[in-house]
Amino acid sequence: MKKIGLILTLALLSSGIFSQITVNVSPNPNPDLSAWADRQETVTVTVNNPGQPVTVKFNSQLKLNGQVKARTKFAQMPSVYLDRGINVFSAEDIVPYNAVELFDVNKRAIARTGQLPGGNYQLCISLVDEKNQPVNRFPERCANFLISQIQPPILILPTDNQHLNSDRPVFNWTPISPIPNGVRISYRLMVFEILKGQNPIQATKSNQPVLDITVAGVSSPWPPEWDLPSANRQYVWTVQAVDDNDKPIGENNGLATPQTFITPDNQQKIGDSEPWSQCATYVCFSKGIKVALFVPSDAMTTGSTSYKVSAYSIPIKYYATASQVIAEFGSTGASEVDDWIGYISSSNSAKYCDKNGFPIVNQVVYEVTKTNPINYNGYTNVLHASGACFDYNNFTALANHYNSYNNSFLDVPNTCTDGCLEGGSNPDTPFGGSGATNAANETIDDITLDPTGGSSSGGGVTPTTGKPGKLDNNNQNKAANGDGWVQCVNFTCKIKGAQVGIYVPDDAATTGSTSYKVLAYSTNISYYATASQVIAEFGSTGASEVDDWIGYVSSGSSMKYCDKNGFPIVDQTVYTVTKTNPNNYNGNTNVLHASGVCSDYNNYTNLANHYNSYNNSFTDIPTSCSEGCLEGGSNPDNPTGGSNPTNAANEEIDDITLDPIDENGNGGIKPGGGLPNIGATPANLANGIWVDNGGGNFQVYQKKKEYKSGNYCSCNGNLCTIDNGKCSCCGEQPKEIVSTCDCEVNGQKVSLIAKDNCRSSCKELNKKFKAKR
Amino acid sequence: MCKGLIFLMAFCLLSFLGFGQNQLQVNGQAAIYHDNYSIRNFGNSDFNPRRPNNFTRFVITPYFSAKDFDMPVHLIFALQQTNTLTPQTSQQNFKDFLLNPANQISIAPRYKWARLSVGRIFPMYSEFTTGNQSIFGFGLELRPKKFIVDLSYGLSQRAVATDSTNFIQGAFERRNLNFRVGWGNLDKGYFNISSAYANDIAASADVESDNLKPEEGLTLAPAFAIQLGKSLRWKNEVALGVHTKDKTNAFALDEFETETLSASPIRINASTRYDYAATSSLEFNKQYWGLSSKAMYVGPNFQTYGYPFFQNDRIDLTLNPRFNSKNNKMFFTGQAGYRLNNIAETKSQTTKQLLLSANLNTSLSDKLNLSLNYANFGLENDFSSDSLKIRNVSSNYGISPSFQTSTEKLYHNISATINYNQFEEFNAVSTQKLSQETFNSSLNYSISYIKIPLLFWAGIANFKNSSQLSSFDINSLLLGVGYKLFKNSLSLKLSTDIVSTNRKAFTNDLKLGGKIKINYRYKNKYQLGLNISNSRYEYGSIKPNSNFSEWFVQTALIKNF
Repeated sequence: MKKIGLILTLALLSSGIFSQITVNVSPNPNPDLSAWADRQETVTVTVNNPGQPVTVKFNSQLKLNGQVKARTKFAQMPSVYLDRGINVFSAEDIVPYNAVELFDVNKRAIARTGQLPGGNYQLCISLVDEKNQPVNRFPERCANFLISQIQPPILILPTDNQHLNSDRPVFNWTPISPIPNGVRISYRLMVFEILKGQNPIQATKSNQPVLDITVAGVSSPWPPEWDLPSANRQYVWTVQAVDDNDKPIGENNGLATPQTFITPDNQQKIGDSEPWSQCATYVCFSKGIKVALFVPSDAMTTGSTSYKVSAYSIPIKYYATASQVIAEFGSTGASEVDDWIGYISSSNSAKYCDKNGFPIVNQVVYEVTKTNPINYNGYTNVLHASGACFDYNNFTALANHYNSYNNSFLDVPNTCTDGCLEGGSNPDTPFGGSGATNAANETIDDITLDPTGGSSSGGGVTPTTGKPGKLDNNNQNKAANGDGWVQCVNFTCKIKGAQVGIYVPDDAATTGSTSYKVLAYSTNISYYATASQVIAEFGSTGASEVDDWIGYVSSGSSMKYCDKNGFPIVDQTVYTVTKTNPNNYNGNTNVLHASGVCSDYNNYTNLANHYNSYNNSFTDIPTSCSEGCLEGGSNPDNPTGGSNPTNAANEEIDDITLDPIDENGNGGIKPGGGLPNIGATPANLANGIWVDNGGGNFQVYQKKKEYKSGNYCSCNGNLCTIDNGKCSCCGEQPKEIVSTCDCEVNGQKVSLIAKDNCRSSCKELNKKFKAKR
Repeated sequence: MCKGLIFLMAFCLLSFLGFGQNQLQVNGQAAIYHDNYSIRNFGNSDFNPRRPNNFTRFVITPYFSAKDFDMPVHLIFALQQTNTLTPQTSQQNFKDFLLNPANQISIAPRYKWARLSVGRIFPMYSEFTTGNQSIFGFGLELRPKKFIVDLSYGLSQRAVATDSTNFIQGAFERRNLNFRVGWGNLDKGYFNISSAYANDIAASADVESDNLKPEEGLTLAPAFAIQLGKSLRWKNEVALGVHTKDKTNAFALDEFETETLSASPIRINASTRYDYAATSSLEFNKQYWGLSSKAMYVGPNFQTYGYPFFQNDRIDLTLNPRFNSKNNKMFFTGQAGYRLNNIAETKSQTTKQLLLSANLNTSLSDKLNLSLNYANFGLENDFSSDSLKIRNVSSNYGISPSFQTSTEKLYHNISATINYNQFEEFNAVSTQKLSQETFNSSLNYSISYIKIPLLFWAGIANFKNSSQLSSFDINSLLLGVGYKLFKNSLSLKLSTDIVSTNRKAFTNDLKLGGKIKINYRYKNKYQLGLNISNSRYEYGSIKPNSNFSEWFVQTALIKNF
């Protein structure tokens, strides 16, 4: 009997004491509720049912700081069958995603993030019967856990794209955040070499790291055991946080966003007995000179900015018509005539210009080569001075300085016009020809320049740059508008982002016209660069400015590339870079015309800059052009024969007239030509030239000091002066000559161009201003 | 694999012949690089090889050009798989080979304003859609007048089945479709809309991993830039990203979310999220100075498939000044950056980062150059509790003078570097502030003969690393000689280095190394390179009687054409 009583007592006790729920939640579960069902270990609930089997539902509550933030909805919860004994359930039974109801949280934020807000949570579980009444023998049980995204490490040093100045890098990074309690975190430090043709992400994804070590802390130098990273190479590094079991921990697999660094150059270059390597060459066949720039062969690594300039004479080459050949050499069979190009019609795609830069159309074209009259007696003029690489004119200025010291040579021409450069097979290919290698055969005579202005051997040089103060406009004839112009010369300076073109009348060759137009506008800036230069300038070799990856160019490569400063890129990867021109001309076309023969790039830019200075709103077009390495490489800039000139023709050419320049440099050029219309106001009475259009309508043009009362004409609606019998705005014969009359309005003397006669127009004007008052 | 390569090369050749331009020029380079590596451990040394034993890589990059036409060709591939962070395949077939990001096989002919790219391409459309994620497929780039039209489609991840015996986690095949349409000049003012779409093919591979689920995502980003005056440019982009983290997730979104995302073209389920990102930058550029500023917001669940490792949930503010003197003798660049994480407070803590850096390079004279740099980085979270507190401050100071001078016969180059790095870490476990200091100095001298191709160099360096927990001191000596033979066509360099490492309470470790570098050039067309290096590392009392030695032989055969 006692035994039966004991058993009954135990049964009763066990039904109450041993009926229990045990809740297990992983210490840092996924904040994304929808992912809980996929990971059974996230939540497990064990229910010990010592009594009879029963069907129940779970009632789960998520509390943050004691407040309920989420709760399961009874209706949507599945029923579960509790068998006698131990029953284990996972997240899909306990907190099925579709049965969760959120309270007092930003639903919009959860929708966007899909995540519960971070913090210390409590998951409380109880059981209810089919009528949603608590099953009292299973008291509520709770478990605490932390919800937080674990931020992966952040790389500190080397900073992204850093050029190291030390052979042995030191790596610093931040720990993951927050650090979960009870977990020992280690960090896997990986350094990948970026191989030729790879970008950093590619290297990270596909290479075996050259350094792969696991460290307990958040800092590590390059270990002493391993050889140092190779000199002057780019590497990418990252860190991965791992737990005790070497499993990644944190967002993005615990990986930090990779960063790159570049190791220092060890500067161990063996000289070639000729410590100077040729970089840029400017050839001006029509002037018979060649100017070459030499930089130290290790300039790229030493950062030296010294250079030498060599200038010497070469035969003069140009195109000519039959009559020009006969006039100069007596016969088209003369020894100076190199080649017979053939008859070139106006529709021919190839364009040829003569030595003055004028097109040869509908005539036979000859190629002429003759001895350079400016003979340097076989001497090579060599100078060197410190400074960055300069343009053609600066080279020639240096060379001329040396010449002037010697007193025996003529100046090297400091401008270069090589005739028509549009699409024709011009014998002169200064940018990319093979002639540059000839310069290297010349003996280089080393001399040293004294400080600027010195007169001793070598002397110093003050390069002459900048625009002219005045533009002489005494003999300006306005050229015909629009049609009838043919582009003759085009200079593109991609590394300066400027393009300047010259247009001459298409009948210039037959009419002898010497008028021309100049058009200048901005282009994108293009140049070659090393990986480190690209990274320094644009942050990444994958930047949008990087047009093309040329590849690794060794010192033995037949192709030569120089950077934007003209220094050779050797034993490195070369990129082509194109970026926006900082000197933006707002899309305006700067157009001028003046008489004269075609001139060189600098003359064009001077004209164009003069226009800019009138407008006061544009940055000057660079007056010098240095295109980088010109030796045999496939330089993207091909100013002498590329397709760019055709683009210029698409630009709208706005016809303008040059006004004379006064002593202070005022005046100059106005778009559209003619005198400016200043509006019919009383204040303009005495300042204007009033034109009676009839019906009480007047146009008023600003009267300038030099425009006194006299005869005027009209071109395209503009009021123009008459110069040498032609209308100055358009150069045409005036169809109508109008004279100004003197009229008095409100006591002021007014210049008036009458419609019929002075008296009636003056009366009309008086009436107008009487009415105005 | 060989058949595929032959097919691709034949395609290049046909393109070349088919174009039929008389003035077609071909430049480029073809190179084969082969690395051979071995490591031998003795005693308690147990280093794993840090390079593959044999690694052969081909780099063939011809460039065809003619008037209005050009065609870069890239045939860059390796015969071995070296993937470490992305899964390798057990047996690489030709498709796997093409899709391995290690290999870059592409052809990109352009005629006038149209370029077609086939093979591994790198579409770069905008800051939020696609930029550094390469794909294997095709790309189209059209620029008629001021129109901007770009399209690209391909695979960014090859399918790799899980192979637990070989520790291969596996991956789903990911297909990417990107486009950009707009008008204007990308270097000046423009307006465009770009998009990046990615889709994992769940059936592409048998992947067994709780952490790896097939994903699908779409990012759409309008962008515009305005040129404000001649030196000022304002650039903007906003983006909406929708992505489904697990296409196999069986749950539906709740009512609110479904309503919001009903217009999405991608598969929607309970794991679908959306978020925004925006950036605006102002760049002021003058000839001798410039200043650019940028602000970026990235929502906590914004994800883009065109940028692996893209960090979300942040606000970034950066300022970059630059300055150079008119004679180009002095250059200064700087950076100030501030980053705030956890902006939507979805994480349990917020971290702030501050970065300041400055670099100054100046030529004090024709012979003396000086480089100075400074960087400071700080990070801290908003916990006051010691156990969760994180605080790191890194300060770095560097000075590097270099001096070059020459006499009639000799050219001297002397350079030095002094670098000091202090790294402070608040240790959450010990609740102590740990400070680590690194002092690094080196002096290098090289002397070369002007008339003879002979070079000598020497360098000494000291590296001192100390913290409360450990410290060590590394001293090294480097000696080298170089000479050129046969009219400078054969270059020889020999060098040796001795490195002694002193660890507290242990006897010194000693490393002896030697390198031979041979480079032969034939008629500027061919180049043969051979680098041989060997090092032997002998541990001190920290690992008694232990050492290891490494051999690394690199050969390169290069032809320029």
